[in-house]
Formats: sequence, C-alpha cells, structure tokens
Amino acid sequence: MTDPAPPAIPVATVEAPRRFRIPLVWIIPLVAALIGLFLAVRSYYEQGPVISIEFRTGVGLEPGKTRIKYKDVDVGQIVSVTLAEDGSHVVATARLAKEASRLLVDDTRFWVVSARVSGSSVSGLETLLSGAYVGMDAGKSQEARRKFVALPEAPVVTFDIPGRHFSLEAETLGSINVGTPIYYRRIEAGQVTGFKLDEKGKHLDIRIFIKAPYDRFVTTDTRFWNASGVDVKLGAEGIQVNTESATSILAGGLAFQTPDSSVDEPAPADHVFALLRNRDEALKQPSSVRQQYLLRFSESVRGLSPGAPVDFRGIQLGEVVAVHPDIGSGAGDLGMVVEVAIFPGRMQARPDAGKPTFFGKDYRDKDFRSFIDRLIARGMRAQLRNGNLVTGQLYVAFDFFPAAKGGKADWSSQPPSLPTQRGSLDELQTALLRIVEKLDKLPLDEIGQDTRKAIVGLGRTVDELENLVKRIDSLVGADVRDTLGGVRETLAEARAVIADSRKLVASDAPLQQDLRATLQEVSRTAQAMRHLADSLDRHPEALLRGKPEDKP
Amino acid sequence: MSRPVTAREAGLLSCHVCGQLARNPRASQQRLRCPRCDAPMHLRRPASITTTWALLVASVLLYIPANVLPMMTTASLMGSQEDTIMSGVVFLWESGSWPLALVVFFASVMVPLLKILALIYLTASVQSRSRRRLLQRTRLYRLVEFVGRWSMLDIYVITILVALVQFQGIATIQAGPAAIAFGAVVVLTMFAAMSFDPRLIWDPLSDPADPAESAHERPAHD
Repeated sequence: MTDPAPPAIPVATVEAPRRFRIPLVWIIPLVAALIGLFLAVRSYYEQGPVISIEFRTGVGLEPGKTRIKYKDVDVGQIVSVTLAEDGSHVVATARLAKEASRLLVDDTRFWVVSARVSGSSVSGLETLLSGAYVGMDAGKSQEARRKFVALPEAPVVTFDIPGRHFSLEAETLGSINVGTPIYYRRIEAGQVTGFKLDEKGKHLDIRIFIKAPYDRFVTTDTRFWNASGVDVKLGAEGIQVNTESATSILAGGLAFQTPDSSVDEPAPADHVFALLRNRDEALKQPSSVRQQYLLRFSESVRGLSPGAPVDFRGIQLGEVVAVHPDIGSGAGDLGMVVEVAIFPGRMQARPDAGKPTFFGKDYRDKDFRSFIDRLIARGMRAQLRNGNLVTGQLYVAFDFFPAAKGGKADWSSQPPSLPTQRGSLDELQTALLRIVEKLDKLPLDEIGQDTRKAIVGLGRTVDELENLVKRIDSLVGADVRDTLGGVRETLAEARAVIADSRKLVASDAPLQQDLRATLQEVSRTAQAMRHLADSLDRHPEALLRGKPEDKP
Repeated sequence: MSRPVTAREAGLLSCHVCGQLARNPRASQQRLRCPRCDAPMHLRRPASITTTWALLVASVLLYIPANVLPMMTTASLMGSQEDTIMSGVVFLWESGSWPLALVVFFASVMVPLLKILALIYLTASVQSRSRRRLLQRTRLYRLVEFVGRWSMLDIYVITILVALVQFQGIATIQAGPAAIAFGAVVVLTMFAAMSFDPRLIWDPLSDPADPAESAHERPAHD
C-alpha cells in the first residue's frame, strides 16, 4: 500500500507554499451580507410614518391598493380600513413615504379623489379606470400631526396655489356654489371656496379665493357683483343683456372690478366685501359723495320709479330716490316732489391736481353750490322725460333751456330744491290739444253739402259723354258690318266641315262603336274557351261523362 | 483487502489538465504541479468545504431579500402592483391556475430552499467526517447539481415579460430588486454545488484505518 506504484509514474513537482492565502471566497458572503444589510437598513429608514385618516364612508378605499397622492405623486398607501368603534365613520390607516413625513402637519388635508362632473369642469377621469385614490394637500403649519379627518370632497383651492382669500357678504346665494368661478375682466381669476350663513341667518358669508396675480387688483374699493346667468334689464335705457361667460350662464359666476379713479391700497387678506346684485350697481360711484335734491314737478309722475336715472345729456348723474306728492306747501298748486341723489363726482372729468374736485378728500360743498348756481343762471332745469315709449318709463333729465327764467336753487330747504321745467311730453300734449280744438271749430257740415253737389254734377257729365260715344259708333258701323257678315258665314261653313270629319273619328262614332263591340265579343269567346280548357284539364272525364254535378 | 483503494490511498494523483498520473511526494504544506504540463495538481478540490460554506452563507443571506422584496412591478391602467414571489404564487392560485402556481412555487421557492438545505447537510456531514449514508448523500449531491439550473425559471419568465410587456401608458412590467437577489441565489448555489467535492463524502472511510494518514492529509485540503 505504501509504494505499489510502478516506477514509470513520475513524482509530482513540489512548489514552495505561498505565504498567505486569503480565502477570497469569503468575500462573496461578505458582499451578500453587506447587500442584505444595506437593503434592510434602507427599508428601515425608508419606512415612513403611519397615519390614520377618518373618512365619512369607505367608498373607493381598498386596503393595500388605494394610493395617497400629493401633487399626483405617490406618497403612500392605505394599509387597512376599519369602522370606528361607534360605527359613525371609517378609519383608514395609511403608510406614507419617508419624504412625506414633513408634509404631515396640522392643517394638511386629505380627501377621496373620484371622477367628478360639475357645471364648469370634469375632473378625476383617470380614477374611472384606476380606482379612487386619496388626495393630499400639505399644510403650512409647523405642528406635526398623525391623525386626520378627511374632507367630504376635494378642496377647490389647494395650499400651493398663490393668492388670497376674501369674504363676501351677500343677501342670497343665487346660483353660486363651491367652485363657482370669479372673473376679472372676463378672465377667470378665482373661485368660491365655501359659504355659510352668519349666526343670525341674516346674510351669507361667501369665502372666495383670488389667484395670484389677480389678487393684487383687489383693493379696498373693489366691487364684487353677481355675474350669474344672463342679466336682462328693461329700464328707461331700453333692453340690456349682460353676461360674463358661457360658463357663468350655466353654472353661475361672480365678477369684480375696481373703479378706474380708485387710488386705494390693495386689500388685506380676508377683507370683507359686499356682494352686489349686478355690474351697474357695483360700478356706481361710492355713495359717500352724494347729494340729495328736491325737484318739484306740476305734471304726472306716472312711470317714474325710485332708481330711475337722473341724466344730463346722456350721462347719468344720479338716481331718483323717492317720489311723493307735495300737499302741504301751496293750496291750489298741488305738485309732485321728486327726491334725487346726485353724484357730484360724475359732473367732472378725471381729477386734476390743481383744481378742486367734487369728490375725494378735498371736496368742498361751497364750490359745488356756486357751480350749480352758475349752471342754473345759464338756464339749467330739471325735466321729466319719457325714456321708453313702449313701457312709459320716465327719467329726470337736466338740460339747458335758455328761454326759462326766474328759476333759482333754494339752498335753504333741506334737502335743497332745484328749479324744474315742464316735461317735453306734457308740452306735446298741450300742443296736440290745441290742434284738436282748432279741428273742432271747422264747418264740417257745410263742406259736406258742397261736396255732394259737386259729385252729382260730375255724374251727369259722365252720362252725356256715354251717349256721345254711342252716336259715333252707329255712324261708322254700316260698311264694315257687311264685310264682316260675309266672313262670318264662310267661317261657319268651315266649322261644319271640321265637325263632320271629327265625328267620324270620335270615340262615340258608329264605326268605332261596332269595332269595339266585336272585339269585346271575341274577348269573351276566348275567356269561355279558357274556362273550358281549364275544366277539361281538371276533369278530363267530363268529355265522356259530362260535367260532374256540384254537390252541396 | 476487500474495500476499494482510492488514488489517494495509493499515494497517486492525476492531472486534471493532461491526465498524467503522478506520485504524491507527501510533503507538508506542499503545492504540487504536474510533471508533464506544469498545471497545478491536487488530490481533492482545494478549499472545497470553505468555498462551499462561503457561497452557501452568501446564498442564504440573499435568499431573504429575494423573497421579501418585490420581484416585478406591473404598471397598467388599473394602477401599479408589486409582486413578490409568494404573492405571485398566491395570485396564480387564487385566479384558478393552480398547476402554474405549483410550478412557480416549486421552481422558485422550494427548489432553491431545498438545494441550500441539501448543500448545508452535505457540507456539514463531510466536515464532521460522518460515515453514514454515503451512497444516498452522493445521490443527493447529483440531484442537487442537476436540479440547480431549473430554478432560474422565474428569472426567465420575468426576463420575457419585461421584454414583451412594454406598452407605454397601458401596461409595463419592470423587474424588481428581488429578481437580482433571486438570480444571485441560484447562481451562488450552483457555484456552491460545483465547488463541493463529492469525493470528500467517501474520504472518512479511510480515516479510522489509518488515522496518521489523515493527519498529514489535511493540508491537502487547503
């Protein structure tokens, strides 16, 4: 056993042993361990926070499937959905990505995103296929939070959109809803984010959001008005149709604008504005600079209602505030007193640095009074005018009547009264009356008799003319009549010949009649033959036995 | 003597490159070379047990992420889904195609696991110089070596799916990190099976007959 090998087998060469032999193969498990450790550590550190969200219902929430998305980026997943202990709501537990942990602050909001169709937009269509997901809007608070209550539906405005919130005070909601667009010069500049009744239920508090950069056009003097639907107005100015956009016709809308002359500061966030009914009302000059005047009219004020315009050559200066009869002042002269409000600012062009203005801070009453006095001295009077012939609406117009005399503004009364002029319609009426009176005085009977006489004479003349024509006719006739007679005889003979020849060919001519009768006979024979052949075909034995008798 | 004589017992060794038979000079700490082609010569595969252990430890370590991490990510219109090996098996089972589920389960879960266990058993028994069930252990080794390549099935399926299902926006399939780990497990176990020298199973037979021989046999393992 020790040395059985044949001598032919050589001995293996012996080499000096290597000094170190690092077992290189152990690097492999080391690397594997490192990889495993790395994965474990990473998954440990990547594990984000676990939060719980309360939902009203579990619609669309599937544990292990429903995602939580922030700005459409996956940040987590619903892990479990359980009923709350009292069964009033659903509590979903969600695991979020580590990066999302700093987004979980006090005012972070969650809601379920599903397909939604509202009047002005369609959203969340992708969820029809992928199923609902939970939307998230990171708050701005610094306080961390792990338990949340989900919103019933997606918020209209998320925190990351720059802009400012304001409040509107309105009497009614109208067709305004959450998400109703707000227009600035017909650009969609914001949205309604919510509304609630105030504590007493007297008016509505509508929360709105105006996006940047439009929010800097909202100043303390900005007017908001309801631009819902189509605003059709039939007033002294005729029919007016106003609308903001097709969407606002269908789904309602608000609009805002700042008067051009306004020099106010940008409004602070959460400033409260009044929501006005329409654009006209909104863009009136502020009521702070308005003056009341009394106008005394002697004619009827039917068709003049409060709110009717006070007009100066087409520019509206103010409006009628009230109309009432003036009984107390004079015994015989019962007049109608119309109380009007004038906006002095509208009587002047844009503010000029050097000159005194009728509005703003340096408005002075005395300047305006002397200004009015000057105008009245030049013949300015108030007059009732018909604004619309169809509806009979009246308005108050100021105009110059150089013929008018003696009028003066009475600054002593409160409010001061201005001189008036009879209305243009009133004057027209008196003029018409005068014409009617003159017509009445005309001798209509005599004129009628004269006319009849003239007509009878005319009839007689016509009869005589007729006789004359007859006489001329008999004188010219004789020769012509003979020739015509000959021609007529010839024509009669020719007609007889034609008639005879026509008789021969006519449908009721004897020749035709005979031919037709013969043909009908032949046809009948042929029919009888066909019957015979037919019956023989069916009953050939009839040739031998005769026709079979019909049995009943 | 009735028991068979091995080359080692005969003091001979053959060259793996040119087949030259040579006598073992039996010097300690030696490195032998073929007298004909000068290739390194050794009686048993050098460091077989150590290498096998190392590769086994590595594959055990990687077996964990291979099963825990997602194997593939399926993104479709219906949302995206990450599947581990087991969740894929469960899904197949629940959707009714249980033969396929069984195939995947055996090929991807059972085979690598059993292979690792079998190799651990073989290596451990060799290291403890066990003399029991020599024939069965050799058969087990052959089975392990044969079956090894088939557990790449999962990797093949994923490779094909990833290549085929690439409809942007409608459906895409991407391989997950577990695919790499799983592939590494399979490759490492194959290498472990290769580095294991089955002759070592039979070596303990000669131990008690000649304990002195085994004493200076040891360095040859290194």
